Amino acid sequence: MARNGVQQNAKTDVGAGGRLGVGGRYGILWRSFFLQSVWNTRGMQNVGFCFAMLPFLRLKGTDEKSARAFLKRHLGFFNTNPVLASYVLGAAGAAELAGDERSVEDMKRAMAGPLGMAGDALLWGSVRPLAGFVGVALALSGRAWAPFVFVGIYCVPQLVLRVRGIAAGLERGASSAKEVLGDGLAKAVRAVRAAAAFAAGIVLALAVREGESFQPSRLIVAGVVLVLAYAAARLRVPSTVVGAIGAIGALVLMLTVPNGGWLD
Amino acid sequence: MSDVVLVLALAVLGGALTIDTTAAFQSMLSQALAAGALAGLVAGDVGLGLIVGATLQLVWMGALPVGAAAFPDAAVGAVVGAGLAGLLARSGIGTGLCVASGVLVGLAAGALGQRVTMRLRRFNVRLADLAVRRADEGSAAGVRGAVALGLGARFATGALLTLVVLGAALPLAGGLASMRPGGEYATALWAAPVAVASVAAAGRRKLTWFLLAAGFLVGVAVLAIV
Repeated sequence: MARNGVQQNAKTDVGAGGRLGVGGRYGILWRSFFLQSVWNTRGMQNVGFCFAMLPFLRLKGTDEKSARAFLKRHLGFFNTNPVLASYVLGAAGAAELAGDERSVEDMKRAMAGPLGMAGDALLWGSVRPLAGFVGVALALSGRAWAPFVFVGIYCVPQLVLRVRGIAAGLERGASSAKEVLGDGLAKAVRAVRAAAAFAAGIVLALAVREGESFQPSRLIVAGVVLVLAYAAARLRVPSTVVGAIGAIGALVLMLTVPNGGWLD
Repeated sequence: MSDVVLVLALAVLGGALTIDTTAAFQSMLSQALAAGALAGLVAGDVGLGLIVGATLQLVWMGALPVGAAAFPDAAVGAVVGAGLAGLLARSGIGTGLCVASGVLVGLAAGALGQRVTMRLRRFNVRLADLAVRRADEGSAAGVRGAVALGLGARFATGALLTLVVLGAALPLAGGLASMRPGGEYATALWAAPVAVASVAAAGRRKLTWFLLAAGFLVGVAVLAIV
C-alpha cells in the first residue's frame, strides 16, 4: 500500500533542484544529520525535518504568510529512517521549489513509512551488526584500529545514501525512493545478514579460544553458552540482564577461584 | 591527570558521544566499540577500553535505536565502563577484574541512560511546541532554537549521567584493590556477551545458524593453523 503511495505521488515534476546549487545541496546534507536532534514523542522527527528544509524556505523567498505555511507544513508529524530521509528531503524540497505545496505533505507521508522500514532493516538491522562483528573480531585479535574499520563499514554506505538520496529526490521527486525500495534491497539485506552471522561465528571461536589456540573442550563451552543465550532470547530476557549475569559470574570467579579453572 | 580531572574529561566525552547516538550524525562513534576505545584513550589505556567496548558492543548488538524503541545508551555505558576500567587499572588491579567491573557498571549506566533518553524525548515535546509557536508568527528562529536546545539537553544529560555513575562507582577501585584476585577467566567474561550477540545475529533462520556454525569452524581452523 505504502509503496503504491510513493508511486502515486511520483507525479511531482522536478528539476527545480538545480536552483539549489552544489553548496545548497551540501547545506541540506549537513542539516540532515540533525534530523533527530529534537526527537519527541509527539511529532518525532518533525523539528529536525523542518530544520533541514529551511534552505528551501530561503530560496523561495516568500512573505510572512507563506513562510508560516511552509513552517507548519514541515513541522507536522514525521518519522522515517534518518539516512533514507534524504530522499524525502530532496523530493519535498523539489516540490516546494516547483511551487507544488499541496502535494508535499501527502508525499512525505507516503515516502516515510517504506523508507523507514527499508533503512532500518538495511542499516541498523544488517550493516551495523556486520560492522560490529568485524570490529569485535579485530579487537579480539588485538588490532587497535578496529574502531576505524567498524565506523568505516557503517559510515561509507550511510554517506553515499545520504548524498544520493538528496540528489535523486531533487531530480526525480517521490519516484526516486523506488531505487532503494526494490527487490535489490531485500537481497542486499539478506546478503549482509548472512555475512554478519558468519562473522559472528568467527567471533565466537576467537572468544572461547585458549591463548592463541583452540582446545576441543571449548566446543562444549561454546555450545552451552549458545543454548543458554538462545533460551534467554526465547524467554525475552533483555540482553543487558544476560550480559550482567555473565559479568557478575566472571567477577565472582576472578575474586574467589585461583588460576587454573577450565574457564580460565 | 588526576582522577577528578579524568572523570570530568570522561563526562564531557560521554555527553559529546551521546549526541551521536540518535540526535546528530549517527556516525557509530557512539556505539560501544568506538566509544570504549575513545574513553580508553582518555583514560590512558586504549587496549583496555577497546576490550570493554567490544564486550558491551556484543551485549547490545541486537538493541536498535530506531523509531520509538527504547534502547540502552551505549555511548554513556561504554564511556563509563571503559573509563572505570582505566581508573581501576591505575590502581594496579588486574586486567580481568578491570574489564569485568567496567562491563558490569557500563551495563548499569547504559540501562540508566535508556530511562534518561525516554524522559528527554518527552521533554522534547516542549521544544517542538516552542518551534510551532514561533512558526505561527512566521519565524524559523524557534526551529533553530529547538535544535540547539535539543542538542544541548542531550549533551548535558549524557555528561551528567557519566559523571554521576562514574563518581558513584569510584569507591569500587579501593574495594577491589584490597582483595586478592584469582585467575583472569577471560573465557567466562566473554561467554555471555558473545553468545547473546551470536543468537541475535542468527535469528530464527536455519541458513544464518548454518553460516554462524561455518564461521565458527573457519575461526577454529584458522586458530589451529596459526
